[in-house]
Amino acid sequence: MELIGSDIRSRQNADRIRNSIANYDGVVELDFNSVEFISRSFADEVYTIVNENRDNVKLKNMKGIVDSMMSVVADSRTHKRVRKTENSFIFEFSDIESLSAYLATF
Amino acid sequence: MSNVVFIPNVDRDERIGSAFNHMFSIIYRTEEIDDDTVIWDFSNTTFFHPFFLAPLILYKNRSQKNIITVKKSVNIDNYFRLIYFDDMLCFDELADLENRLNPYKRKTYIPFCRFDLCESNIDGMQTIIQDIIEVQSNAGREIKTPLSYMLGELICNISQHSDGKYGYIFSQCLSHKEKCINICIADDGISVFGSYVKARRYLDIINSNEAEALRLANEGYSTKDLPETENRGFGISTSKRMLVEGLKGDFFMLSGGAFHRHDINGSDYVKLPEMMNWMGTIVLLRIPIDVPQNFNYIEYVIR
Repeated sequence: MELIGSDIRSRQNADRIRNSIANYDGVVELDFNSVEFISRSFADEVYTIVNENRDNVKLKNMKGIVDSMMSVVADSRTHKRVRKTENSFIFEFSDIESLSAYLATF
Repeated sequence: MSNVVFIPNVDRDERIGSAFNHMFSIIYRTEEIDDDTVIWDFSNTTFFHPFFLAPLILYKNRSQKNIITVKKSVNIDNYFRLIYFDDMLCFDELADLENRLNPYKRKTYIPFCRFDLCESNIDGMQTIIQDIIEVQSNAGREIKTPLSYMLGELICNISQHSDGKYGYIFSQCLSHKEKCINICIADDGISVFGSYVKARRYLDIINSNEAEALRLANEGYSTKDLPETENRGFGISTSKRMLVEGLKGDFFMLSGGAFHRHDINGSDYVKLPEMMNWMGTIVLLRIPIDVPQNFNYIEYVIR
C-alpha cells in the first residue's frame, strides 16, 4: 500500500505509519523503494517506530539519501551527542538608539 | 504628530539581517503613532531586497494598526500585486498552488505564501515551491538535497514548536547581484523563548533572556527529546552548519525579543530592547547558487 510519497519531510508523516500498523498483528515492511528523500526529522521518527515495534517492523529498499539519513540517526541514538561550540557573543540593548547604532555596524 | 511613515528604498542587505535596521525603525515609528490609521509612503522607493520585503509584509498583515500604502510607482504597484503583498497567497489544494505558481517559473521570485500548519500537505507544498526555486535559480543538481534538507527541517520546526496557526514562505533569486537564493520562512507562533517556557525546559539556563533561548535552540537543545536520549534538536543546528560552513551562505533568525545572525564573519545573538518584540519567528537563508565542489551534505547532518 502506497502510504506517503517520494519526498518525505515532516515528522507528522510518521503518525500515518503508526496509525496504519496500530492494530496489525503480523510483520510490517516499510518499503522505501520509490522514496528519493527523507528528512533527518522523519528518519528519527522511523527509527523510533522500529524501536517501539522491535520484531514487527522491517525496513526495506533503503538506498541513497534514505539509507544515509537512517544511518546517521541510528548512530546518533547510540552515541553521546558532541556539540561544536560556536564562538558567539550575546549583545543586549535597552533602547532603539543603541540598537540602531549596533545595526549600523552590519 | 503626523501619521505618515516614509518607507526607505532598502534595495540591499549587505550582511544578512542588515535590512532589519530599517525594519525596526519602521515598526518603532508606526507603533509610536497615536492614530489607528498609519500611512506608509512609498514615494522614495524603486526596489526592495527580499529580506526587507518579507518582514514588511508580515508586519503589515499582522499589525493592529490600519496601514494604508500610498504613492507606489506603477512598477512597485504591479510587483506588489504579483507577490500578493496585501493579502498573501493562500491555498487549499496542492493542485491550486501548483497552477498559481507555474507562471512564476519565468520570474526570479515566488509570491508571499501562507500555509496552514495543521494541513497534511506541507511536504507537497515544499516540493512544489522548491521546484520553482530551482528553475528560477538555474542552479545545478547539487543544490537539490541541501535545499530539501534545510526547507524540510526548518518548516518541520515551525509545525513542531511554534504553536502557531500559519507558516509563511517567500523567495527571490538574485542571480546577477548576489548569485544567491534568498529564502524567508516564518511563523506566527509563540517564539523560541515561548516554546522553552511552555515546555518548562532549560529555564534555569535561559533565565528570562530571549537571546539565551535563541542560542540554546541554535545549539540544538530541544524541548522534545525522548527521556533516554538526545534524539531531537538537530534541525536548526545542522541546517545552519550546512548553510554557513558547507555552502558558504548566511543565516539569520529573529524570534520574539531576540535575533541571531551567523555568517562567515561570525555568530552573534542580540537581545532587543523591551519595547521591541517580533511576533513569532522569522528565518532568512542566503544560499549561494554555486555549491562548493567538495560539499557533502551528510557531513553536516551528523550533529
